[in-house]
Amino acid sequence: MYSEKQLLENCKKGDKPSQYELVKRFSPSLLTVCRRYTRDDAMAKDVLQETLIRIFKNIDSFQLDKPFGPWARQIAVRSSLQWIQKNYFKRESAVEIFHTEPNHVPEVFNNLGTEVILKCIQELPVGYRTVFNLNIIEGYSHKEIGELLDISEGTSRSQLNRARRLLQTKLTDLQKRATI
Amino acid sequence: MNKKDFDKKLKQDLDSYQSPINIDEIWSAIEPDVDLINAKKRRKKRFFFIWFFAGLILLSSAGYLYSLYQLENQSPIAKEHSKKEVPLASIKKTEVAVDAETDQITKLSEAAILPNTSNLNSKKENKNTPSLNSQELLKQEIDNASSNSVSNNSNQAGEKNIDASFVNSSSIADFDIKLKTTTLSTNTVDNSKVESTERFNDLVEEFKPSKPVETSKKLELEKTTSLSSLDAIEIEAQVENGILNLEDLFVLTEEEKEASTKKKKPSAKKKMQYFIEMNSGVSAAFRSLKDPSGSNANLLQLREEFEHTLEAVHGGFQVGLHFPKSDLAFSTGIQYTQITDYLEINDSRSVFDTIPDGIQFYYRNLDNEIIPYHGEVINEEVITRRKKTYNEFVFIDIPLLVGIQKNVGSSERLGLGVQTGVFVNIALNASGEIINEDSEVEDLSPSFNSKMGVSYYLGLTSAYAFGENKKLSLQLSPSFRYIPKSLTVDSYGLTQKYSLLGVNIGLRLKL
Repeated sequence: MYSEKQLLENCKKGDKPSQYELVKRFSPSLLTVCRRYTRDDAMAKDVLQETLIRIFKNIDSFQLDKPFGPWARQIAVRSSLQWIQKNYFKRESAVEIFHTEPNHVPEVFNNLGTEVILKCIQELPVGYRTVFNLNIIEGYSHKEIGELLDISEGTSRSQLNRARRLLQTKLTDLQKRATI
Repeated sequence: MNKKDFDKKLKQDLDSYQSPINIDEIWSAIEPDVDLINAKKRRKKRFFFIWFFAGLILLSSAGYLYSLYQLENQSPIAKEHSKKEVPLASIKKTEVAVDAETDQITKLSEAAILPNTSNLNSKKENKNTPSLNSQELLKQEIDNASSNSVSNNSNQAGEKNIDASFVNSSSIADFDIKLKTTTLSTNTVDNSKVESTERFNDLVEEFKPSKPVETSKKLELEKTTSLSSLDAIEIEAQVENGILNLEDLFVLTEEEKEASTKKKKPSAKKKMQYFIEMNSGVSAAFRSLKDPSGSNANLLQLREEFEHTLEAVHGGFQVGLHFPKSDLAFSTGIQYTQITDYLEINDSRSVFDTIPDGIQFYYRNLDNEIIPYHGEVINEEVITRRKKTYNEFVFIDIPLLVGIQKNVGSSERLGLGVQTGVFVNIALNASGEIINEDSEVEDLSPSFNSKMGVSYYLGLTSAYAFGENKKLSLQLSPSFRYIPKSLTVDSYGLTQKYSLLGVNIGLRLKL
């Protein structure tokens, strides 16, 4: 069993068994990233393949003293965004003057598994889903999201609020159904 | 739970979540692309080495040429100083043919004078002391020579005599020309002519110039001699700069003469000469793929379609023997050759699968129920393949070559010739992938030999020799090599042969 550094060194040399091992180790977490950005698992797998190919193409530029996970994840996010841009028309909605939302969110995580939550995220409209992932999970600011997706900062905020509201609704429904 | 906690919890859960996945399915989907990436990397690495060695050869050649250029542009004095050794300033008597104006000196017969190393060194130390007036110096020399001729044996006396015409030279120009005359001699000393002082004095009278010799005559004089003018320039420059004076011009003993003659003999007169050579080159590779039995036409067609030949790189080290008289050279050594092909598949094909009792369609019956209709269903699956693999055939050979090379031009630096012979293969390593009869990709190594027979070589050679001794030469050889034996094993249906047409560049050092 190779250490991560040894594995990456071998991958840089083009060692095929090590490349397979790398795919084996990192694909599950990278697939989660891809699933969050895509509508279904088949699409997520396509994006994951693209991500892995990009990783092997660019692995020479990866510095071995840095952690591989975040680097690979960043490639997965960018691959996902490119896939979205290729497959969806960009629709810029008007800036919404939104009301202050109640700070209370129903307790849903205790009873719902991550797989279900992931499914709920996948069901969000593409714009909501993308902004939600970038802001809540990846930690991008609205300004960065605006630059990344070529939308205004206000649109990003509005999309996030709508996404959060929709997700809460979905989760609450699921919670109710689970209780019944 | 507030909004922040909701976001935090969501992030935590999703960050650590590992989605279930079939790794083999993902791997098989990306494997062709991974192969392609790896192949590109290997190719990059290979080209890096090729360019590295080519650059190294070019740089070292350029550096050597530059240093030669610098040396050529140095003044003779600086060149002498840079060599840090005392030149063999052999000043011998001559029978120089000069035209009517300088007729007085045409029969000047002898005086073999050579700088004595110890004296020369002491002279160098005293370089800054004022030199003697040329004419006084000449008189002194002749006096010394005359007295020596009396006291010493006849042979030595004769050798110590110097040009008698110096005595009455009417100018420095005269002195110069006579010094050159003595410098540029080729004939051996005829001691019998100066056996006595009387004879010497006769010569003085005989060759006394009537008027100063013009500069143009000096040049003519130089041209009429058979030694290179460089020697004359060297001597003259040293006299002018006080490094060499007439006191330095001493007689050679018989042993010294012998040693000097040996030293002056060009190395080309040797019966044979060893040399070593390093070379490398690039060739276009031409593959001949044939189906001798005629029963593997499909395989032949597939391989022709999907495989392409790239190039060959080669390099080696050789030792050899050169026979200057006949210009023949024999060489052997070790040679590395790598031929590269590539297999590229980029196709889509449909695979049809028949399901005997599949659902063809649904219908609604009178009771409004949906009923499936079963029958033979043809399922089409489109398979897309993308793959690129570089195949490498590495030969380790022993070359057995014979060549002939003639010098061209007056400088004898440029040589042209021809070389031929065989390469005896001692190892062959084939790696990569080929397509099989079923259009599947398979490892090629089981289908290829591990050793080959001989291959034939024919090359034209051109060489340029550097340096004063011409020991180092740059070799440029367009070459053709034919590998007659198939690289594939006998049991494989097809034969695979190669011809290489390219160019070699190398450096040869005569030992």
